[in-house]
Amino acid sequence: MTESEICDRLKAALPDAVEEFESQLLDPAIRVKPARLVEACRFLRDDPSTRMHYLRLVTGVDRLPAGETPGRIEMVYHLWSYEKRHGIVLRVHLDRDNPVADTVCGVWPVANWGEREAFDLLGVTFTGHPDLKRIMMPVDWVGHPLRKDYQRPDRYHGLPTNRTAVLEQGRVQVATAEHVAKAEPVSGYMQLNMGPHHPATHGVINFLIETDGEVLRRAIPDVGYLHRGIEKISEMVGYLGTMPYTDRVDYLGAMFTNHGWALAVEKLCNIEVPRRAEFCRVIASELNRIASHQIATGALAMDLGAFTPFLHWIREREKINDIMERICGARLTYNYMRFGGVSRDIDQVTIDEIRRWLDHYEPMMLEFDRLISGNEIFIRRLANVAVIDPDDAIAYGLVGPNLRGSGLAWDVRRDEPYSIYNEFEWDVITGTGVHGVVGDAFDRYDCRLREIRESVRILRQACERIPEGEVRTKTARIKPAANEVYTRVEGPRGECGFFVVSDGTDKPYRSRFRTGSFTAMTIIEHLSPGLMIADLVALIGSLDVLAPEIDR
Amino acid sequence: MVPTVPPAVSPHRRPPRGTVRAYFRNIRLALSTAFDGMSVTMSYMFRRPLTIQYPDKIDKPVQEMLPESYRGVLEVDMDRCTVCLQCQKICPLGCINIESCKNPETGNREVTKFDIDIGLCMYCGLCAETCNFDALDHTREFEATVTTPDQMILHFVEKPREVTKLKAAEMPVRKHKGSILQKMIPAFGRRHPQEVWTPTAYAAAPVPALKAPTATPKPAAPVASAAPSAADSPTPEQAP
Amino acid sequence: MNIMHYLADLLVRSLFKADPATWPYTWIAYAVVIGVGALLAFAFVAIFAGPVTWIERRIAGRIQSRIGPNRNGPQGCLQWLADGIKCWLKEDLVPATADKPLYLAAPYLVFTGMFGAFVVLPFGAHVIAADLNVGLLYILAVTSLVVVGLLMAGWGSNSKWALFGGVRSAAQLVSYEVPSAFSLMAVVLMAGTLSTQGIVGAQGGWPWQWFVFRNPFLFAAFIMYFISAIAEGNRTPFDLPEAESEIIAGYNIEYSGMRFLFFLFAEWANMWIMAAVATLAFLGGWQIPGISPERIAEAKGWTFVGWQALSFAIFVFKGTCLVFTIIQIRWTLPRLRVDQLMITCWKYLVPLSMGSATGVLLLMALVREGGIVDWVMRGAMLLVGLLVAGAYIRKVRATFMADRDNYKKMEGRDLWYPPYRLP
Repeated sequence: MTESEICDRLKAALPDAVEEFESQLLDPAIRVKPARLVEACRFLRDDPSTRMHYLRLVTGVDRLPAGETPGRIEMVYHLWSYEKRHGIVLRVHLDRDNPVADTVCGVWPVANWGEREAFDLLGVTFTGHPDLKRIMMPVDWVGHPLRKDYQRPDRYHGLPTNRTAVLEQGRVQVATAEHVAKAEPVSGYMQLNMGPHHPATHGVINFLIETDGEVLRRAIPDVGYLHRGIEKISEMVGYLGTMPYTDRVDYLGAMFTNHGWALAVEKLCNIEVPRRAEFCRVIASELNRIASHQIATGALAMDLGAFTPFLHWIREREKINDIMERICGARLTYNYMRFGGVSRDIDQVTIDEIRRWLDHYEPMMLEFDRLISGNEIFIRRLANVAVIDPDDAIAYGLVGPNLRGSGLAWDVRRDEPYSIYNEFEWDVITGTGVHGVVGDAFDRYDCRLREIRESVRILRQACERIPEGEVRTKTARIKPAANEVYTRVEGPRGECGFFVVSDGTDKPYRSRFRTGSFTAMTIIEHLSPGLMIADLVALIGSLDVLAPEIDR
Repeated sequence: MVPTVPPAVSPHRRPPRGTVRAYFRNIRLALSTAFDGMSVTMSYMFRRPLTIQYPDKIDKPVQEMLPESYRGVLEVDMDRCTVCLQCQKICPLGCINIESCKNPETGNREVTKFDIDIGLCMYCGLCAETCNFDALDHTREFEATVTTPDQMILHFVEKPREVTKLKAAEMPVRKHKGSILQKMIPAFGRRHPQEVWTPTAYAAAPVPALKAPTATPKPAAPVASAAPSAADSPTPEQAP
Repeated sequence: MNIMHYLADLLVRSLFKADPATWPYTWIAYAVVIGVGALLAFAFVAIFAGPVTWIERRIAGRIQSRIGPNRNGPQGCLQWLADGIKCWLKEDLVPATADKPLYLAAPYLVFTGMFGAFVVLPFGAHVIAADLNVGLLYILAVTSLVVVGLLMAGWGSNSKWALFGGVRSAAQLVSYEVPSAFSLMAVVLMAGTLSTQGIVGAQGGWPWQWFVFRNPFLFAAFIMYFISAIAEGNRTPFDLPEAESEIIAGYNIEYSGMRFLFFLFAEWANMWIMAAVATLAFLGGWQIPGISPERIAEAKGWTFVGWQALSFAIFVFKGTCLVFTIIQIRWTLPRLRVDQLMITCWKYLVPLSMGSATGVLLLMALVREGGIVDWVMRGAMLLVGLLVAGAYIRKVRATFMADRDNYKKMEGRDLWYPPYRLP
């Protein structure tokens, strides 16, 4: 169904809910009345002709009053149906001074954290939300940073908030006990803070866990330790200036955040990408995917106590880093993509090096399987642990290998094609329940390992078929007209989406990065009851969450 | 729903019938897979390690092992710089700070300051990309350890100098990449190890500002002299 | 008569010209000799446990394609000393809320438990501190003292993570005592004695005289003892009490400085005890091939000393091989979960080790020692051992060959880098 058909369908069912159909946008949106939002959402989810079970993105845009128009806060809901392969954007306008909306947590559980983020950064209150509190900023932070008229305080509890002040002060004050919010005892069970500097939390994430001996009662993730406000930064540094910041969103898959951002701006400005540049993008991306999946699978093995596989993968990743260094000059923060191409060409020497490395790497994958994937202890640790069934996976917004691990064959590269992925021969990997049931932790691990093989296939073809030509089109100054766009790429942690609102200037009015880890974290609380502490570690590892990607 | 794959069981791991068989199968699998894994780790006793022993036990400096495209510490060849301010404008962080003025005696434009705060720089390469004269570029230097924060600001102009009026083709050849920086590198950290950093020294040091051209008639003294360390530092490459 | 008894008597006889049986101050001589013996054993523990930490790190480095510590001393061989001195000099922190007496005493209790076992380890034909007639039982009993120490450390630290570690290790050690005792019982049945020297004496120098290749049940018992010994020593795949990625460091999380060192010390000393017990019970101990214990006992002068030294070397060599295997296992396998750990013990190791002890008993009743059936069994088991070793070498070689040519093409260097080449 097209967007206008969906709008008609919604109008027919709930005639008074629809305010306007905004078809001029790149992603056409339906504006609904705030009071009828939940109803409309539930209808779109359950109606047999729409069946939008997946809430892709929930975010807000702050619009300052301009002339006659009063200021407002727009909540934006990107819906998608895996089944019907169509999507729609819902939008509600809220009063800027007192933004209140109904929560859609009851329709899609994944909205929980998205709404918390909107509450934290934009100050929108959601009635009926189960756990409405700040998520990124400290609990006692004043103000909502993504408001357009937000003034940053110079100090927070005596700690300077800008660099010059930090340097002037010479040293940072250590937070005292009064800065730390006291956690109230919730139950009679043992409570533990697992994190933020725990070896198994893959970065600074905190899990407040309640255990009954070794068995978890529940684990509540607490994030925000790595929040750098990259979305706010992007509003200040412009389109090209944001590119190096997207590296920092996902430092293990910087190529994908680069790619997604480039796609978003290219779509806004209608920029064509030369064919050779597309090949360069695919080669760099797939190398990056291999590197990222290596870290994911290796770190999972390390979490389960096997240290050696991790370092074997690190060794192979070093080679990828060397190649990346040749391609774009950096080992981690690539900043490779540009609007209309890539920053540097990949020369023949590098392509030969990639080929030679692939020859070496393919036997290494078999060796890795012998070392760890086939190991009975390892299999027993992961098989049948933390099973996510496909319905849950969709409802909680899992994407990428986590979703495919649950048996859903959905890959953005194939199903919403971008770049030149549909020219290559490769398969979408799904979990098959090799050692247990479909959707267990082993399936997610296995999906990543087999995806590495597919990436190798794509790389071989891309190295073979790369054409001659330019790698970058000359672009005029990036100054897109007022519009909104949402683009997505298939990153190693799943769908990596970029929601960009432009306003005719050379800086984005608002951007929101939709990352796989952010939504993957929401399912942990749901899955944790009944797991053991060791299983929680396996669950976190198998979901491959990455702290900077959660917090941005 | 989207094609959901039915649970498949790989042929070599068919679940065994009967608990007794499962029992012994578990024992066999546990032992044989551990055996397999140990043969892999054993083979590494005969394989070459990956590690190189930075910094002393290597054949050549790491700088020379890095590819040309490596994005290390930035350097400017002032002979080729036209003070077009493109790099300053594109820098997302504002870590490049350029000031120029008109010399009242000669009437020529002079650049009085070209500072790069490598402590703030995020090595994204946008400035080097935008430089049309190949003046600003990344080097392969990366060992930029300093003892005080003010040393992180590299001063590429020590005293005011005339801005070149030549076209790109007529300009002197770009100095070998890294050669300018290498002269400044002894200043990195090893210069005054006993020096104690005071916050005032930093406060006096320039803070990157976006307003560049100032019309001061008197060429400003190098600001960095406020920091006692900069006074007797080896001067960077001067104009021939 | 063991060597210490003999030395003490010699001391009394030669120095005081008295008959040790009647001389009233004999006990002083005994005490001196025991003290010296304990000091020597302690020195062995220190000298063994220290370098083994370095060796383990070097081996782990090679397994992981790294180099490992190689800066302190030639090839880093003094790394352990540097680490030890560093730990010694560090502040001994005691958490404010800790249960002080328990917290402070725990490391020593752990260490005492480990160290006590050294008394009955037969390092050579006559190199043994005390040849108790309940030797194996003594080892099992005294190493159980460790459990108390670990529980004290876990509880006394007043930290939830430490408590997890302490309770986990108590559960684990108590459980795995059972299969290890049953596996050793099979050996005790064969040897007819609990004395460690007696068990070694019941075997011979050649592999077919070792208990491990005597019959299939003893072979199984050896594997089971080895597994449960690893579990008792808290080594991967059974290192749950100190599982880094789950409970960060386990019972020793709050410790620092010297007390922390004692835990590590005990861990590596325990590794040696495990290897030594496995060696003496299954692998013929210090027995020199072709030389019977009687000939060693009858030898005089330098020949006696030479044979003692040789037997000592053989024992340490066998033990070190096992230690290497334990290290390699640690760097190969992932960790079990708590319930799986218990399943492995109570569902697999306990019944199977009981079965193997019963099997040994049956074979002893049915098969005459030295008869044809006995020899066929020994030959068959030796063949099995050789086949396993052969398969292992083939697999290692195949793994190496799979990468050799591609690596050469990629790096332009040979992949071959033998273990004796130290970077």
